[in-house]
Amino acid sequence: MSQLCVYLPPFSSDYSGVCTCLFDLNGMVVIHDASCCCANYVSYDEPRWFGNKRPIYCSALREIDAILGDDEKFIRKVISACDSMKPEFIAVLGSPVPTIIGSDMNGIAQEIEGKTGVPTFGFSTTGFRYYNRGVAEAMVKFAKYYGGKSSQQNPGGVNILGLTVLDFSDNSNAADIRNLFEGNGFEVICSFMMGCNLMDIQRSTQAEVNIVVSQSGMALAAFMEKEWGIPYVAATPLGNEGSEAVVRTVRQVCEDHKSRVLHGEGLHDGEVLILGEQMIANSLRNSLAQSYGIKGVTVGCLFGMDKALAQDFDIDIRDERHIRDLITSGKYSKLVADPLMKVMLKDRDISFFPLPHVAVSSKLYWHRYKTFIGDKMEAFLAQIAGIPM
Amino acid sequence: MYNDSVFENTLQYHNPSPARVQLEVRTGLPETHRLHVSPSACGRRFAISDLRHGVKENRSHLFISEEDIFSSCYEDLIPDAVEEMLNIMEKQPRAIIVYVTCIDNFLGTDHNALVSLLAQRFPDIKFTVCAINPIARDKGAPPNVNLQNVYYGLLDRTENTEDAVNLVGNHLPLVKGCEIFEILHGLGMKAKEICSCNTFDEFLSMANSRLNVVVGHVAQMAAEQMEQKLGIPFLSAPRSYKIDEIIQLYNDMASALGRGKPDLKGYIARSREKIEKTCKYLNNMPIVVDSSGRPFSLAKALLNYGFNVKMVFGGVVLISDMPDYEWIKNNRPDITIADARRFDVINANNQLGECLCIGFSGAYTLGAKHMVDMDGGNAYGFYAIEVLMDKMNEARDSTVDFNALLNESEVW
Repeated sequence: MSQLCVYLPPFSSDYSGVCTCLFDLNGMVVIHDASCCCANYVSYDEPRWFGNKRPIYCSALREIDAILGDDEKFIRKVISACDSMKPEFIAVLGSPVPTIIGSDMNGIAQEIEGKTGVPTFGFSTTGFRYYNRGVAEAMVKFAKYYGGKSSQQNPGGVNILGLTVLDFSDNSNAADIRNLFEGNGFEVICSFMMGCNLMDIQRSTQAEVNIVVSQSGMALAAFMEKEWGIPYVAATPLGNEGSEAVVRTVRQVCEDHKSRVLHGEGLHDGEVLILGEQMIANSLRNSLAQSYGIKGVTVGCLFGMDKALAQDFDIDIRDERHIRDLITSGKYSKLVADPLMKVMLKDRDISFFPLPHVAVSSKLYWHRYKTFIGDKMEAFLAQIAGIPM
Repeated sequence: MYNDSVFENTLQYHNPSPARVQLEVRTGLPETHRLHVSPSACGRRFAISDLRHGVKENRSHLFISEEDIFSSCYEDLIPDAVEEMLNIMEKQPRAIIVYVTCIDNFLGTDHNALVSLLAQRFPDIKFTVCAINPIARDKGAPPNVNLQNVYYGLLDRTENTEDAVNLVGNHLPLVKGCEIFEILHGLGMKAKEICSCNTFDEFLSMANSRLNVVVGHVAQMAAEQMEQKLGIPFLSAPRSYKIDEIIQLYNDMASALGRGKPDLKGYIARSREKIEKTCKYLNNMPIVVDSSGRPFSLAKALLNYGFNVKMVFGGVVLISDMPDYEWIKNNRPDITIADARRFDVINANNQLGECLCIGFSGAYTLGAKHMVDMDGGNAYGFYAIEVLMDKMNEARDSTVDFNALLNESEVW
């Protein structure tokens, strides 16, 4: 239902999730919108836009075309651009107006594919949902299309699922995560969807284990487990000990082929509230519990809650009022959240620990992002735990 | 307002925006709150931009869901949201502007009924609705024009008259060095600008002014509406780099105020001197003019001054600038006219070699060595010519650092 937001900005939307997933691939992406949706993505959801010219476009939809349901004009524009740009694939994305008028993005995609012969993907993105839905849909769609059961499995081969700039920004995080596994003897076949290409996606079915580093990777993990029997580990590598724990678990899964979600033990509600992306917040909690003995940590999921990842007392955040209520509940003495949430504390006696998230604070903090693996994150964890480093 | 048929209707590319944080920027009216009612995606850039400028407290968002729309109760949510918002705010606003976005065009919302309902429930606050709907730019006013219409639509006719002139259509206050302030002072007039108002009452007093000067084309329609509603005449004089147009503006302004022609000789001489020196210093260096301002008008002005303009990097063409566009197209086939938004602009190559680009977009696209930064500082009249010439000289002596621009644009 509707939500009033007084302090916080709207979070990144589903079409930005799709665009950011497809950024590294050699395709052409078109948001069917008037202008603002594309401007939202390129200006506020894509840290890599400045300095990289990618064929991600806006269709310049106009009212008369929407009223007349003139999809042909849109299709003609896409085909014309395709003839010139020669992409390896095309993706057409919906936005609020196509949603209202009932545009069939999959039908449009089929028609474009029929006329161009270029694989074309339709995304019924709406602008009403958060980025993680778009990320999940894009990863599954591309894995379904380009992946295929491989007769050959690559022992020690892993995929990383759910790696996007909206969760990890464009600092060294993506490379650090890949290096962590490669440095421990694994081969990263495909890191969905940063630093990968269509060939990597094709080869991704050879992996022995999938490592899901954000909640948006769970849908693909479930799909790949069901279709291709690839088990997964669900955890974001964080800090030093937390990263080692993920590596150990991946080794274990290579042995017994059983999927695992990393949960801390003896956790309970209270003391620390982490508001953010569910998988990253979970992993932060696990590290606090395992390395620093802090067991009272509650995760508030800003972008929807996956029950498979949650503790009983975790919270699916409904709206900004819900956050205000949690802050004033008197239950929590520490808050870990995007820096923009600090203003909501007012004069409450709650210690605040900033953890920027691109899908929340956009360019305000995306170049001051935490590095997830290594000493800096370890220092951050110690700071939350109140241990001087 | 715009002629959209000049360039082929294709998929559009968005160049990155290098917008620096300008602390002096004031994007709304004082003591006014803005409530965006839209799908969550639509309000993101406004909110982040407000946060960068430290004015987020002036804007809230009411996100609506698909269910809200399909159950036809979307506008019913607004009064309760306003109440919740007012309960949180430390100070009650004098006015609330309800922003709606593209989807509203398809929902048949009765804005008048909504405003009446809100006015009944919150009688101490003025309400109005503003459509930020780029989807409708083919049939009506684009969002930045709507915004001006809505702002100035809050003014009521008054019996008071002040010896003041409103400068309308600028997002930033004109810089103090602009001669228009001196000239208005000489004519016995005070200048008023929406973005310099510190209180809502100060803004309302713009209704007392004797003349509106449209310094930015986005307020042309608002000025026409103010003439009808408030009886304030207007002069259209969007920023120009043509000396004869600037002279005409000041003469018309004096005449409209019932005064004699101002003495402009000093300003004209200074502008001409700067133009001449700059033209000589640039020594025929190729120049690219992008869409930061009125590109065709600026390009023609520079051509007349003897500069070597080789490319105009447009996007939309103001109807008022069509004669300049036509002139360049018909008389200077050697000048490339390119669409900055066209999909294949990402493949554009710099065929000009070492060139000077006026505006970021052209410079970024071509990877130009020299760039005149049109961002920041809002100059007008002869002073704008002087500032531009100074910047062209500086650009000639420097090499643009795009990484530094990126960093500057993201630090707050």
